Amino acid sequence: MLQYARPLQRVIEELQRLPGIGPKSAQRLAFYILRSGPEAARALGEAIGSLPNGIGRCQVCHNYTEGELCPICDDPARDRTTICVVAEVSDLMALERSGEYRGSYHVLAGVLSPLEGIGPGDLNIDSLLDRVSQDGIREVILATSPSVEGDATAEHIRQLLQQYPGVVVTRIALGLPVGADLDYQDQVTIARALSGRREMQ
Amino acid sequence: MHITKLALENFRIYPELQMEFSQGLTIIVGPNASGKTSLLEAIHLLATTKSPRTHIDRQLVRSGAPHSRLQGQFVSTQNQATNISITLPGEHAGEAEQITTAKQVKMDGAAIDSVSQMIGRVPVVMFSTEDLNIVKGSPGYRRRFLNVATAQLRPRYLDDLQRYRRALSQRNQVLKSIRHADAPRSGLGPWDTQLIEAGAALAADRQEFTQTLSEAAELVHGDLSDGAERLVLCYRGDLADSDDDEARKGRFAELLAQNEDRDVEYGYTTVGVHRDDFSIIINGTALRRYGSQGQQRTAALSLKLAQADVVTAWRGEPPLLLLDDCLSELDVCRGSRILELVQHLQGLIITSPVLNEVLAARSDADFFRVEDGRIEQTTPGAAEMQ
Ligand SMILES: [Zn+2]
Repeated sequence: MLQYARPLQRVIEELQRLPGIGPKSAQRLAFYILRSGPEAARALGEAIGSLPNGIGRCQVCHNYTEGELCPICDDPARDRTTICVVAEVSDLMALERSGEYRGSYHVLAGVLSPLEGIGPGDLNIDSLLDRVSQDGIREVILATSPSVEGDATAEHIRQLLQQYPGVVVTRIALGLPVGADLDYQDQVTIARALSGRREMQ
Repeated sequence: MHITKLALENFRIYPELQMEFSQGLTIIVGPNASGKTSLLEAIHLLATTKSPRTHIDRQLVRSGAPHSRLQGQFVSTQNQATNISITLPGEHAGEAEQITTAKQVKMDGAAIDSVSQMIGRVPVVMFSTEDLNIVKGSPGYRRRFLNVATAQLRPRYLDDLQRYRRALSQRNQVLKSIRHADAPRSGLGPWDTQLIEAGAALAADRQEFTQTLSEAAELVHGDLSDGAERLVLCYRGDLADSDDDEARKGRFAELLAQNEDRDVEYGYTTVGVHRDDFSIIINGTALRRYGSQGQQRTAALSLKLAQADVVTAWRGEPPLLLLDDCLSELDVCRGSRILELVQHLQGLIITSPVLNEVLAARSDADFFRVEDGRIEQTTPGAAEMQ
């Protein structure tokens, strides 16, 4: 089998580790970087290399941040009495892009999945309960995806929040691709909506 | 629903094949192992993305070929055409450059990434000799039949089934970690909730489908047995005695709680709809244990013909019916009665090792002869002489 020059082979191998990148995409990207010249390649390498140094987790909501608090927790205009609980920072970004939500967030950093060895102790659940017990929270929106794991995680948190009777718990479902061919998904969604099985309380 | 065109490339024993069908009855005659079942299998695969004979797609690709391609055009009673194409990778796919390694399905030119997007679009019911297992095999065969049949009828069913299986695996994993003493029992709760919701939905659909199928099968089987046999189906399972959604959920929750100690001890879930079954009763006796081989065979056929009736009633579109070698062991009288029962279908394909008098009498049918992967259109007279 044909072998690439060692540096090129290494870039291809590293790119292939990324989600959604197969051998062919990795090759294409590697050749593109090679062709785009040393300046561009160095800039890309530096940007990637300095990523872990400059970035940490927000002490309140576990969003990515350069400082102690993320821009959302640091913004005095945001409503701190409402917390929207999401699995990943990418979900937070999706909700932010909608521009509809003015409350705060809490990033769990995953969902429950015993098969992958992820239990309640592996998620940012204790810090959520701390926030709810201290801050005079009025509403917690559970916005994990409507998969079995996302639903089980929401259910687990709902059960824990029952000890705070003053807090309203609501559930919204993320995860439907917008603008894709929703023919069948629509049928399922409508069927589920009709049966009212998404209601939490 | 009927099929108008079928094109195969490197599928089973066929290097290349093109066939055109007209509306109504098609009869395919050929000796055993000549490739006639593979034709029905290909049509079933196009309509449902799944082979009724194997779940390993590679086995479908002609030996040594890098991939297999199938194309079919189906037309509904409303005259709406659906074009489906499927590419299956073979044993050596991936080694050569530029060859895809995953199954690709396209419907009317658009890629389908989830089987569920296609469900019910091309309703098809197939009967083959292996369906005898539905009658005399283990409960797993009957659950598979229930799942495949109901999934074609209810868009939500497959989703519920996948959720149930996923929740069950997760719950079993929690049971194992409780057993090895490093997890609290409270970890079961969220999975129980998911299991109960999906399980209650599945039980409701299975109950309703079994009931409807039972009514249709009683009529069909009564006809096939000259009114001598009354066939009844009875859904059996942990939630089979509950009448509504609340009762099913309540019962399932109760069973999970009652069996929790045992589940922890075994490390898996011992109650639930994954143990469901249905019994087939003829004149008051269980067919599985006491029926003769001929009786069991006729009952299996009755179930499939009844399934076609249920599909017509629930989806408003009669299915394409594929009958693989179902007439050869029946007498002339019964054979022609079966053809009468399915007379109303727009698409019906029957295979047979020989052209018996029941089939030869159908001057309205299209006849094909298959031998060693070669197929030619023929007439009943010519087929008979060979
Ligand atoms: Zn924050």
